[in-house]
Amino acid sequence: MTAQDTGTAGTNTATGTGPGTGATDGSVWTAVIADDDPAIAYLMEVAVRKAGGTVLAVTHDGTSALERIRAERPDLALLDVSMPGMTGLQICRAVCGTGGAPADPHRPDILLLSASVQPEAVQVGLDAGAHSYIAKPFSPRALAQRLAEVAGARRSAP
Amino acid sequence: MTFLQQVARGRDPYAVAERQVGIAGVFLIAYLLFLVPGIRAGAIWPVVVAAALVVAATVAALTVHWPQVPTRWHMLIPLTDLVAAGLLRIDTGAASSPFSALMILAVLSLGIERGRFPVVLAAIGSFVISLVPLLPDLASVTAGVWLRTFFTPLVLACAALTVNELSRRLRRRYERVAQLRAQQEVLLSQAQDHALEAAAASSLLRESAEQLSTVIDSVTEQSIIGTDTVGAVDVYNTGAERMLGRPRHEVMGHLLPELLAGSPLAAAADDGFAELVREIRSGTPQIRDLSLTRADGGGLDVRISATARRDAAGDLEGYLFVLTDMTAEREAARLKDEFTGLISHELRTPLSSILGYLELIADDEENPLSAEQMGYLATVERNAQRLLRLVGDLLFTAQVEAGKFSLDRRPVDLRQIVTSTGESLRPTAAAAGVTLSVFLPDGEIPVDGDPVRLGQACDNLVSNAVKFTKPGGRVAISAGIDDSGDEPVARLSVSDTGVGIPVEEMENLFSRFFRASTATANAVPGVGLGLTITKAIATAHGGTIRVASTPGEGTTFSLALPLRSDAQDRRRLATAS
Repeated sequence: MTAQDTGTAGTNTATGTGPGTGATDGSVWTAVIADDDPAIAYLMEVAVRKAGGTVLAVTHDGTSALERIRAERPDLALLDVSMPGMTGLQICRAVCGTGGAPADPHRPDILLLSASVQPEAVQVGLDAGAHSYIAKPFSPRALAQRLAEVAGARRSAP
Repeated sequence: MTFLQQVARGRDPYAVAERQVGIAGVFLIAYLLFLVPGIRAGAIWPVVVAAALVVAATVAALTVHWPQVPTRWHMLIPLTDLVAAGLLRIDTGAASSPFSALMILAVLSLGIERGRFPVVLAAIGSFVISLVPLLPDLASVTAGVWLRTFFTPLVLACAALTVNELSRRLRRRYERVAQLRAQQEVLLSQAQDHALEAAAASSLLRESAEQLSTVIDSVTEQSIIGTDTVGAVDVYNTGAERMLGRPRHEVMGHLLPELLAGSPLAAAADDGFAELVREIRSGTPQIRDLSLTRADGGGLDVRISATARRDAAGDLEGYLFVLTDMTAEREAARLKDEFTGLISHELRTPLSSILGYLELIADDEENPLSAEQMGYLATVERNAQRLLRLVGDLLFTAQVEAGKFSLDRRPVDLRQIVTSTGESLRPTAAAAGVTLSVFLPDGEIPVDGDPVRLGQACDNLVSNAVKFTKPGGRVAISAGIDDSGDEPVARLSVSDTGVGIPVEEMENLFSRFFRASTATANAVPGVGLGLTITKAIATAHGGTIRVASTPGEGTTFSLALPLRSDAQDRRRLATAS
């Protein structure tokens, strides 16, 4: 499987407000995963583990995803765009303060994953404040690489 | 024929009779003179004959329908009177006869007749009448009587001539009057004709104006709005009333931008209108898509076509705007997009699982697979990838059709595109037993393009070439700057030694889902989207695609793209210096 099959459809360079407090260990980063398809959510989990991260929570609907993000304060959030309850975009806006309400004081870097790959859809995701917009299908291996990069950049950020 | 016209032609139906009745009356009075003592005739027969002649002449004058008689014969009546007067004179004293005066009447009557001949007759006749009584005894005629015999006819002839001339002038005047009258009648009838024509024309004009407004008002599905040159509405049809929800009386004379509430035109007010009509003024009709707000607050998507209104002389009178309600169409287009997006999404989601888990199986180091199993897995993956590409192609063609296909342009060196295509497809070509060669120039081929889309186009062409070439054949990819045309272009050519394309199928080659007969005959896989996509990509880059093929020998696809403008300028400078 080649790396170009997956890809990062778009990237925001904005970083979060600082290292997550949910980490039990300074050297390990944490993530919350949300996808209504458990099979895909599991692929994300595999990728997070491969990249050296800790999965704090896996949810299958948007509402509990937001709750867990606010409760667990992960470094990264991997969100499916179309989910019941709240969409990944709505969560993104709520967390990043792009929907009118103020941004969460602790804000994870959000990676949106979606099968909608039209440039407009990608732009909407980035405008909502997502760090990256990743097209489905994705290669777990390539996603792991990407996650390692994002987490690494977050750790080294001031 | 009017009386006047008859007079003018000398055919007064009464003139002859009237004169004769008058003369007859005078004769009657003259005959009464015989009652006067001392007046008597020498012989009775001339008196009787004269009376008979006068009566005959009078009867003839009253009974004959003179207009049908040639004018020359009209002279007979006064001539008869003259003879009668002569007869009366014979035995009543000749030159000294009291009846001599009657000759004057006859002569004058004769003089009235047409032409000079009656005057000559009057002169001769009166001379003969004067002479006849003298004939029996010419020797005893005195000098005075001779003198009178010559002199009286002369005077009478003069009188006749005078009357003749007067009547001639009168007749001429009548003729002239009649002519004028006739001319007047002609003019009058012409004037009447003109008046009728003018009335007909004005009613036609009214009818056509009515017809036009009926036609305009019968258009109920489109708004037709006319304005003058500053934008004040002067035409507003029923369709506009319906579409915009504002009655005619509310908008007539108002400025158009006020009417297009909710649109950028209204926001920009005068500037918007000026901007809209600037192009129209120069003769280019404008078509714009606008969103408006109806009078009731509802939204409305319209397509507005604006054209100039010119009068017969070609001077600008104003503008005409035809608005078509596109709300339903846009809704349909939106639903179609949504559907395509949904299908694409729903197909991609299961593919995500398939591909992801395939990778997990292949990467599972704890439970390594046998070489054979890896081979099976590769087949599954290849087919899943094929399905994914198909989904992508479907989505892409739907975007192209919806006009929503956008390019992420950046400076690109076409050589890189070709190189990466060559690298990625070399294994496929090798597997098919086809030799793939790449020919590139040393210098950059600078284009302004979307590298992903250009790569897709190049991949499509090359993978097509490989698919349609039998083992042992060759596929060549070459790129370069083509200087042969007016403008230098970047050219990418893909040639194969494959089956070729039948001539009759060339025109359908770029249609969606078209598959060449050679593809089905040779069981070449595909759905017929590759060339559609390649052409759409070429077109979006401002380029063109051409194809040349000989069945059985091979095919060459050639893609021409505009060079990057800065590179073009540099080239121009270089060739100029």
